[in-house]
Amino acid sequence: MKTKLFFWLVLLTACGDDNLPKYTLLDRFRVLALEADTPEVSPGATVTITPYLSDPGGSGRSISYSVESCVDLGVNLGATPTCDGNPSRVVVVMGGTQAAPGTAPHYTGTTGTIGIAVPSSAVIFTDPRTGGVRTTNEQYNGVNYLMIYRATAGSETVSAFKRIVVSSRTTKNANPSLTEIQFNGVTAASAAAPAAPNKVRLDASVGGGSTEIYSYRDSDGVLANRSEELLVSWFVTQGSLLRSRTDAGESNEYTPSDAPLSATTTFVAVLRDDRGGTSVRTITK
Amino acid sequence: MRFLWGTVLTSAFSLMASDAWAAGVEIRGRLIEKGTRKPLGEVPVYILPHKLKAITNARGEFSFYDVPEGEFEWVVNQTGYLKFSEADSQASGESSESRELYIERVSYNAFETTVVGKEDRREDFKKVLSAKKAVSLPGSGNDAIRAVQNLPGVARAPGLASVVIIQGSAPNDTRYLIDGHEVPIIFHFGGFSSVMQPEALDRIDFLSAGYGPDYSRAIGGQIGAWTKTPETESMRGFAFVDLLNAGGAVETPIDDQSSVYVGGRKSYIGNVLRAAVGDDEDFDLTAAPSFDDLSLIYQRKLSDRDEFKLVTIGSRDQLQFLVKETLNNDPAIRGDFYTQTAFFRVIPQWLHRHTDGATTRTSFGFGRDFVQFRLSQERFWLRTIGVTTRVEHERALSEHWKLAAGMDHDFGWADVRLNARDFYTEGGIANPVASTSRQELTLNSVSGHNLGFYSQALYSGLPSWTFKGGLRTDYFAVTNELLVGPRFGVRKELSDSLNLRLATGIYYQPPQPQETAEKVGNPNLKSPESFHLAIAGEKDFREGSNRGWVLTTGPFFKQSKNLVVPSTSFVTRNGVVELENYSNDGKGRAIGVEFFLRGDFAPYSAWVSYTLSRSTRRQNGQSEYVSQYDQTHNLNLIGSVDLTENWKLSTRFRYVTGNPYTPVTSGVFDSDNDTFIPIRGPFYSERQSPFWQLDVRFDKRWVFKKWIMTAYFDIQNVTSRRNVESINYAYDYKSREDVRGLPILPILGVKGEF
Repeated sequence: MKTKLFFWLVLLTACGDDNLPKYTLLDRFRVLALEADTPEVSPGATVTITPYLSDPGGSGRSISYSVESCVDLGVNLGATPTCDGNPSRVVVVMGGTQAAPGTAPHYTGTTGTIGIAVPSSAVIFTDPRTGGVRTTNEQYNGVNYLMIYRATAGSETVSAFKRIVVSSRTTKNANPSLTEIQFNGVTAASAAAPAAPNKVRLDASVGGGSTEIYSYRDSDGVLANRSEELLVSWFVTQGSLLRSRTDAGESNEYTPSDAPLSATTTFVAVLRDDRGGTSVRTITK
Repeated sequence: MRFLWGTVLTSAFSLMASDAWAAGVEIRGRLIEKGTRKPLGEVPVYILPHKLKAITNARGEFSFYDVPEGEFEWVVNQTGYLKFSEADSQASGESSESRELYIERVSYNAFETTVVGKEDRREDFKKVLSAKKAVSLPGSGNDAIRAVQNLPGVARAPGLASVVIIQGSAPNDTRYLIDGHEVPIIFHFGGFSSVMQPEALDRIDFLSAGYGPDYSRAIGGQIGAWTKTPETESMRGFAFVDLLNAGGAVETPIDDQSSVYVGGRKSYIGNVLRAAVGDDEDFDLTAAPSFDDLSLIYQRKLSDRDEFKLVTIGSRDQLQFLVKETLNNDPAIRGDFYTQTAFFRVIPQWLHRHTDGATTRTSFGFGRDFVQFRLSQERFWLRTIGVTTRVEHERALSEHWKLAAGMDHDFGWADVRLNARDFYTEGGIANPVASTSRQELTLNSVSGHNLGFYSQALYSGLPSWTFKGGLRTDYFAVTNELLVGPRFGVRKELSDSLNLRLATGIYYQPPQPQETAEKVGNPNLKSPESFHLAIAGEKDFREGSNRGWVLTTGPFFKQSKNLVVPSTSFVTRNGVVELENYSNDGKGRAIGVEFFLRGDFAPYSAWVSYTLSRSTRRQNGQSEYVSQYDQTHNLNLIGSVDLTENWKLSTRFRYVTGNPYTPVTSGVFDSDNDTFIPIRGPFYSERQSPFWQLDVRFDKRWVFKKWIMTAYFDIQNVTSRRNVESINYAYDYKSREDVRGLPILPILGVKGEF
């Protein structure tokens, strides 16, 4: 434990400069979220994934991409997030090209959806490393099925992955609901565009029922209830944000740029539960 | 008795030699060292112009008889002290008051660099630092144990790390002991200060490759702090204040047989940090980081052959703050952070000297450790109770044979609560905590123990040769292993000033507790093992004088196996497929040469400490790579000069090869946790830029009759060089920047002692 405490102290006392790219600033080609229509499914189901991308070099350029899927070998435990060498690997899309998702100079939004066919229980509930059947606990709590997404725009390539939870649980996880972004307590869609030097309070409105209580089997097989914890991630195409993440119900603050590069600013909020559920809202002002 | 007769005879002679048979007065007095109030024995005291002379006894007392009335002059002219001369008078018929004469030392600074103490015949590869002298080394921050970091074989610990890294081993391969009993930490938070007041210590032992059989359970080495004997002549004490902490202590004889030392410190480092950095919109110091400690030493002479000592130490470190903005783009590192590490030990010790010169030392340690960690939803809580025992018997069997044998045992109970995500780190690169699995563990009153027996025989029957054969047998309950570690040493005196020595042995240490814990560790782990070989030659160029150089140099070699490394494999335990968590697949090797040159040329002194080494690791599926703790060159240059008026100037220069690190080649976005998983390049295949730093220290003493005030000004990193301590990556690992260490750090301290 000494090592772990030492690690934490080093981590917490490390201080660099602010010269690295800001997480909240959408200034490069990147994946913001991979949203599954159903984040938790039974074996054999089909899941539709919607990628949310941001491409400042947009202007209608096409995006090439590839998708593959496989049974998770333990990314949570330290395994590399890849399907390479995984016997359950399925190539979903190879060398696909997506027509320009938009013609705006800086495109931020969805691209075409991708269908992922989850293997049957005979595959997903068999541990590929041991060949044995997974325990009841594992089947109940869920086995992760990985979807690896790789996209290229111009010379920029990004990689992302999503876990599709495959379980025997009867009540599956549903996506949380992010109903709207608010500027100073007013629906962003009807609020005035933020302008320097006035700072803007940002809130993400979370729909009722987003925080689910779910059952979980502990290592002794005892069922216990747990509550999801929601987290909102914030992005903006120019200006700056006080926080990169806020808890549901916690406000953020936007400071408009004194010298904006574009007449419009896009705001993105991504709401996540801690079980793979995702909801995204985008507003351009 | 010799002193008494000397005083009487000398006084009688003085009386006869003078013309003072005429009626005079008797004058008594004491000769005392100014500032320290130490009585000075066997020093001649003169009364002029009457040419009277008396020699002080062991208590500094002197007597003159029939001193003529009228004015006279006291004169004391003793080597090492300023000449004392003071006018006085005595009227006839008046009863004489006892005089106290205070004479001042030429210098109150420690002249020599012989911070390294006398040799231990049983340990050729133990370096002993005198605590009193080590504290004044530049860059030590007035801490004796930190001074260990100036020795060859000790790597520079990164940044604020509070560890001692020995000869390319990992920090966990070093064991910390106080009076022979293990303590969980030796430094307070940030490594600024050790957990015991330096004034409570007598010496610090540094055991590296090839150490003897009396210690075990550490394949790297051991740091042993040994407490002092409290003052037995008069009450003494001190109080101090510096940039980081304040404290004080009192020590006093209780009666003719016993004495006690009580001291404590409290830091205000957090308040200093808050003033220097302040809270900002991302970070709040909820409770200032602080540390405090307490030392109590009681010593009693039970008989001519028995001594009893009771040492009690307590230490507490606490830190709390609020992280408002996600750190390192890891959503899990956000929120309220709190950590506390505290422990106490009560160590009764008994030394018995047998009639035949043999000695038996028995000591016990009773203590508790308290560790608590909290970050938002992550929780870790540990309480332990420990009982340790050490017994050693040492005797001379004949003129040429000596034997030491003993045992040590530690028994511990622990309660553990863990509800935290895993901290997966490989190649020194951590995965985001948000991407790891949650671990839940509750352990109540889990117990474990380690038992060791050892013996060592010394044979010096061949002229100029000494042979040391030892055997260490350890039983580690956690691994259920009985392990035998032979140790062997030989020493050859080539001349009065030149010797060669060799030591070798096999060493074991039990895995860390969390590595063998059910669910989060691997209960089937074995103990890491290491083979050591060390050779050294020492040449004393002083040739009997007290000026000159002493050179110690030689190679060391360590080969380790069964090192514990993280594992993501699955194994079947008790019929259940489980994550392995850790395995014994690690191997390691360290090879190097140490060079240690010390010079005394009063008022100048110098110290050159240099280590050339290479430390490598290997684990399954990987080619050999340099260890995280490999530092090819490690150079420490220390020089000091004693100036007049009790000024002292000292300086230290350090040069260390940059630490190796594992480059991150790219990152994969984890869409479920909003973070990036690093993709590691070859382990430790790149290095940070070299580290160098210049420290300067000024010491000044003001000596008053009954007390001394000391001030020191320790300026660390005078050139304010911003050495690279680690690498910070962009959120997507596509760009990076260096994280640099502290700039210039001036520490001013004032201490008053009586």
